Amino acid sequence: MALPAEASLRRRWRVAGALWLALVVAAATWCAVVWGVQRRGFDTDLLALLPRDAQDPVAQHAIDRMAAANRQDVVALVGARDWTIARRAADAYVAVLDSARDDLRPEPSLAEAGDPRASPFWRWYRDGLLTSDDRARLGGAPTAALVQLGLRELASPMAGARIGAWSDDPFGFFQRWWLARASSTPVRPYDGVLRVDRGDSSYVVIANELTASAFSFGVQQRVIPRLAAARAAARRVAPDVHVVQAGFVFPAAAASAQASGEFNTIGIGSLLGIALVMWLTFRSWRPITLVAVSLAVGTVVAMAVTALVYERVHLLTLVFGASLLGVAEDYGTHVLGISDRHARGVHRTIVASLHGLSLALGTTIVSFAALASGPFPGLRQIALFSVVGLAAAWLTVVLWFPALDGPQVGNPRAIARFDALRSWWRARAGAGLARVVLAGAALALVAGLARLRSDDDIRRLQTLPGDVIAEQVEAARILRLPVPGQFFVVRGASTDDVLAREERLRERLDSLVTTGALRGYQAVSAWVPSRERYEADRRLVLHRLRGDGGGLDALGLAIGEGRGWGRRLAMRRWAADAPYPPDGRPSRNTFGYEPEVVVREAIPAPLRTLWLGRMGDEHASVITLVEPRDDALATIAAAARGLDGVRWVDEARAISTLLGDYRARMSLVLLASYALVTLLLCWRVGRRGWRLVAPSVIASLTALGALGLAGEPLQVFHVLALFLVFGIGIDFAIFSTEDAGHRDDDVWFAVGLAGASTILSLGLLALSGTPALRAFGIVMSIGVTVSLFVTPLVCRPARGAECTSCSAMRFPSLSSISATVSPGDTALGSYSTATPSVRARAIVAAMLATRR
Amino acid sequence: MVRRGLSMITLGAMACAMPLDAQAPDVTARIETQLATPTAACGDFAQAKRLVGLTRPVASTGRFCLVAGQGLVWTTVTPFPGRLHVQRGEIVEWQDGRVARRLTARDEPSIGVVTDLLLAMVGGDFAKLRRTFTIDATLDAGRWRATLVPRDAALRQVVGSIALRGDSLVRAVDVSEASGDRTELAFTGVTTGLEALRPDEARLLGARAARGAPR
Repeated sequence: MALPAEASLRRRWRVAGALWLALVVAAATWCAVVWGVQRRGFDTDLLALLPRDAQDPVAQHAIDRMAAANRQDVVALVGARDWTIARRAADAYVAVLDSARDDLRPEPSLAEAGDPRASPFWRWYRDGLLTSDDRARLGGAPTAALVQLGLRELASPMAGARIGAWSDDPFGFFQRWWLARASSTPVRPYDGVLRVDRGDSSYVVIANELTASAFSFGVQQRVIPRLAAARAAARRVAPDVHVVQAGFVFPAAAASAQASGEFNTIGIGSLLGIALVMWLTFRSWRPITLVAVSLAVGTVVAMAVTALVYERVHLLTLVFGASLLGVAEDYGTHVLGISDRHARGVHRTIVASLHGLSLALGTTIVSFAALASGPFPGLRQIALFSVVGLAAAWLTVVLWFPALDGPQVGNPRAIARFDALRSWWRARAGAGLARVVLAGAALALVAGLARLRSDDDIRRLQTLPGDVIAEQVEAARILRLPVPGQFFVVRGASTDDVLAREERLRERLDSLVTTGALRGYQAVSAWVPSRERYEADRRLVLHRLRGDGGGLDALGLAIGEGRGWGRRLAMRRWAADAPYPPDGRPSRNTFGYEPEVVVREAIPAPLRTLWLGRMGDEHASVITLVEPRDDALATIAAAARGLDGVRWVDEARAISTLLGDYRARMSLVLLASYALVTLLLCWRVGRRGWRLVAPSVIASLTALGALGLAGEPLQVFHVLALFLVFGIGIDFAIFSTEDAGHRDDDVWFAVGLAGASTILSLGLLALSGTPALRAFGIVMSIGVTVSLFVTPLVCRPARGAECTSCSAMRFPSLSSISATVSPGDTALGSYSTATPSVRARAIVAAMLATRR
Repeated sequence: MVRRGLSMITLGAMACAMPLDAQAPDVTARIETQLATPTAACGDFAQAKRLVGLTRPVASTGRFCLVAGQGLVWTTVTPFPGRLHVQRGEIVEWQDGRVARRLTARDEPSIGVVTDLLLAMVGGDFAKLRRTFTIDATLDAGRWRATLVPRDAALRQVVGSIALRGDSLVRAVDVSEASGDRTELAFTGVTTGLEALRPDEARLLGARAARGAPR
């Protein structure tokens, strides 16, 4: 073999390695700038991954806002049958929290709900505030009927049930309006605290908010035990005391606990496993460290380049991209598995491997790059990330490993035993019994594939302990909180425009409430009517009630107060009313209704998050739903149809759809990749190229069949793992068939080692409690295992005499490679003195040349 | 048995039970022992509302019936026929034989408190009333007077005070609202026992009472 001398290769490698080091350092610095100095953070909006035309920044903002609004809240409901006991238990609960207030502070905003005196605006504007029933009554009923209404109100013992004096509201319009508003929450100020009743229990509502992020592990570790202690203290008061605690921090903490628990079991298990494998084979940490370095460099460079191209790197890119980088492990392991590399010269060994390594990289890059096709911005980012990462890991193996490599080689006995295993398997797999078993397995697979279905529901990925979820649901039910993640977004050119559009939507929602499709809704316009609505209602009230001969005058006559009573009453009230606005501005003009001011000043605190306010040229708000029936969601969503500026947002559904779209798109790309790579391999190695693809195909089908048999629906994380199975399986096949002058058993040993460590790292995720990770892990472990078993059957070394089918593979002669790498001594001489950019170009040219 | 006709919603919305200083004054204790606790009590009521902005009181009359544990039926005869059926957690208003309005604790939580307090007053349940009000009472030769002032300042701003008068039964209720409105109720011709119920009242107040009525 006409390879250049090891010494001359080492010189060139030193230059290239230094260049690569400079690039890696630059990339790491850039990462430090982006995340350390600029503090860009990661993009976590799942909806940002939707195709551009399906995105809606206002809806996205609404989702963020709704999620952030309550993220810090911690609400406790302390209840008992006897209110006094509930009070005492609540005091005991609060006393525990009061002992250390550094993480939790009392949250006062709930106290405002339901208190009619919270704002003077309502009293001031009461003439323009009507329920829809009263509006209809005022619009249609004759004056005599209004008088009857007034008299009944007067005679009924219920008539006293009012805010303020009877004469302020003789017909009870404002009273009914207020009651309808107040009914949006069951929480009432009572006994100096907030109270809510459910069944035969009364609860004290204790609202706190976290002073630091609910995501913070430290905060969770301090707060959760204290809340548990508070609960215990409340329960000690009486045996029937019932405590319901809710807040984002509980599921967040449960998720953290699960993750750290799994880190301790799966993480340590996989570490021990890999350590054992390494000890059995190399008796050294160095090889695995080297492989880890190649993956780390790949990740850092990929992050840097992605951050260079995109303003924000998406968290999903990091997760998907980093797992796709798992393929890159094969490159390093392949090199380290070659036992005689020191005798042959490490550099020369690598040069000899370049063709196989390039082919392995090329095929994977082709498929990962194909992810960039199509309209999904997320997949494009993932494609960029994984392609750059793979290339960087590959370059690290090729350029740095010779310098970093240690003396460790695989344990000869392990290699021999592993090789014997392969021979045994090859001999057995063809035997009669094995054929029957394999045929049976194939049949089962076909059955499994036939049963395979898909389900992209995001809720399938939710894994929190049942009791944590149940408690959140119970609290939401008792407090009658609106559902998260399903709401209407209403937008318009102005505040008033938004309110008017809300009113049109609310008419439809009101009729849905009547039919029982939902319990109710929360909307700003229920409190603050649009100007048009307000003025129309006010005109109606003035015309029907306060005008000469109107309802008030007629009522006055009926109770013997004489003519003009209505006017006298109005004057009295006008003189007694508090001046508006409260800041003492001179306007007491009741026509001066300013919804903008009311929205700003008077919306009860719990509803304030509904008002998104100005967004660019628009104003926007949210209408949330209370207890919608699951089977009525489509009907509710349809209420937005045909209304200007109204949009239905179903976050879970949107994300599920997104995951489904990604699954479909990725499956398609994977299929296309198989076709493309088969063609590519046939072009490189001839007709038999399909044999290099066969292990991956069989492994993937086996994994899919197993999923079908287990009744596990296919989802995007399975497909993500199939991408890895594709890349890894083809790498195994390529390395097993390459004629690079390596010992056959060495190559097989490296393949086995790569397979084992992949199963131990990614495959063990099959034991995770997190469905996404488990899905990924299951396919990985099945896929890689099957690849390991199929590869020796289908692919044999090209020079192996026993494999006639593969011997026909045409490889470019190694001398031609070396000729391109080393065009001559003259070139070499000028190389060392060339400018860095020329050297870089030379290296790139060399790389490209090996791939022709 | 006690009565009232007043500020029910606001009372409930802001009612304030503060049982903390459980002072058990001798007088109310003695009143309690003196109060009869009949299974049922029915009679006539006369209501006069003295309202700010009106030169004359507004009068109404009618009939009421209370069955312990079942609820209260309040039938207005003049000036308009109408009926109110009050149970724990629910108030139903009848007009012309139809339900005109139904207020439930499920829809409006304060209804639960309102009905509890109302029935406590009607049942002469001073123990319950003491939680919400400070009670100042006098007892003289079998007749008592009690002034109830809400413990909660917010509630005091709506319901100024309630005056009760009675002997073995509550005979009069006088509610003075902070707004200046006043409602006076007087109960006359009260008979006790299930046989006092009329059939339509018995129907509303439950099967047990209905069966008991003819006896």
